[in-house]
Amino acid sequence: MVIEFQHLTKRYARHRPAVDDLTCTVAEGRVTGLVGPNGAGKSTVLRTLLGLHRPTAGRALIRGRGYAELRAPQREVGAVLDAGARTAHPGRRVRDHLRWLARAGGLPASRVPAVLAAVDLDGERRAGALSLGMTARLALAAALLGDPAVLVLDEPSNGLDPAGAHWLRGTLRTLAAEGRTVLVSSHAMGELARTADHLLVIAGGRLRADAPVADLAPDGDPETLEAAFLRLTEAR
Amino acid sequence: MTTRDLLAAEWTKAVTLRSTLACAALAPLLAAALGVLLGHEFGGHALRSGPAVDPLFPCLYGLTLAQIPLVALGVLLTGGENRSGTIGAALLATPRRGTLHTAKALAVTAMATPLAAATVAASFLAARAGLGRRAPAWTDPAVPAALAGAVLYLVLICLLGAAAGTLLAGTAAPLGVLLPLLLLGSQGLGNIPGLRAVTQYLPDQTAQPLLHLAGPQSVPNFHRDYGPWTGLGLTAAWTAAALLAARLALRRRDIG
Repeated sequence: MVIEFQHLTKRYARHRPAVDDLTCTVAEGRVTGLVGPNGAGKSTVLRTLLGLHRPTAGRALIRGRGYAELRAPQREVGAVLDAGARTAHPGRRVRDHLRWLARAGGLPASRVPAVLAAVDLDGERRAGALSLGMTARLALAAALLGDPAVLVLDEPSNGLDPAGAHWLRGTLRTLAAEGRTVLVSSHAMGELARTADHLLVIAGGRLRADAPVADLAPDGDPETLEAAFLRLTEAR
Repeated sequence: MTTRDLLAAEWTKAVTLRSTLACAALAPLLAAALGVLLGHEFGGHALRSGPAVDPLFPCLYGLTLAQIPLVALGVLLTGGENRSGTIGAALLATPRRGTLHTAKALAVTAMATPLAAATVAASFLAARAGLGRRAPAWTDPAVPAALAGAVLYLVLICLLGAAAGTLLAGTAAPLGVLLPLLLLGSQGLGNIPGLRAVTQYLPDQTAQPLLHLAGPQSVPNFHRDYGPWTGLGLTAAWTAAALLAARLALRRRDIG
């Protein structure tokens, strides 16, 4: 398995665990959706996987190793942190943001125009002048810089208009079809119904379901999937 | 992902923001402007009537203000990333936090050194022109020591800003701590006799004997309990302690 969570637990000071004994895996060549209501622990799971948060117990592994042990992290994993939380300095040009990232990873400078073209973004704009939709495109461009086989995306569709959401769905499907591992979180089940092959449903920091989309909604109806989601995530 | 790559990335970040470029340009400009004023002041009437003044004092006194943009630069280069969220991207590219911290400290040092040299040169040459025949002689052995000490001091104070930016994970808090410390410490608190025993150990005060800013050390009112180079060593100890604290904080912190 490409991504493995082994009894992952994260507790922030004096709170109940944000993630509670999560054990599951993510396979390659498909889009896996990490879905749950707001506050379910999705971002905590992904930030722990990416080494930004330190687990209280358990492990999150990528090809058997923790993120911080990866030799060339950008070549192995591309990540989008919660798209609402910008990671490009508002005063820096889009191209320059990608340039420093490429340098930090020892990636060839030619990757910068390549990813700008892939997400159809103007490199001369300053990051602070981008719309939410363009910010999401920049975040995905940064994730694709190292041409990674694994993509970890936290709410990448936040703020996208319908055309942007359509573009993102197509992009994620294409990346998975190329054999990449795509793990994408969302609080909107309907969004994932049309993108994901497999779903990990979490609520209250615990795994509620680990199943193919086809099992949760055999008739392929988004309404059925939504009903299943509400049933799985209701408080126990 | 070598140290060279990380230094190149830090350099790219520094030169692609107007805020950091402006801070970098401001330091030598401010030093030159203050040098002109101080040189003329001390070259003119001040020395004619009063007692003999150390000619290096007006040459380097402007640095007490010109250091502020260098401190701000250090804070922006580190804490600015917390403010903008760039720290998340930096850690995704360089997840080993100790490695990232070392690279940042090296990059700040590499950027601050030529900048500090330019700032000291601007201050010295501008003041020297105004001082005229009262300018310090090139042959005076105190001159190279004071100038070298001033460059080292400015690099250390820029690194202190960088460490505070990392430690306090932002820009407002470290500037709120450092600016009053550096401005009040020298201009205000340092002149209150009862507090001098303590304030003489503040990070900027400790460098003042070496920079000829502490007054004649033979006069009891001006006396410091340490020598010039020991004093700079104390400034270095402040910076080293701040960098260590910043490193430990960065290693433990959850980001975002």
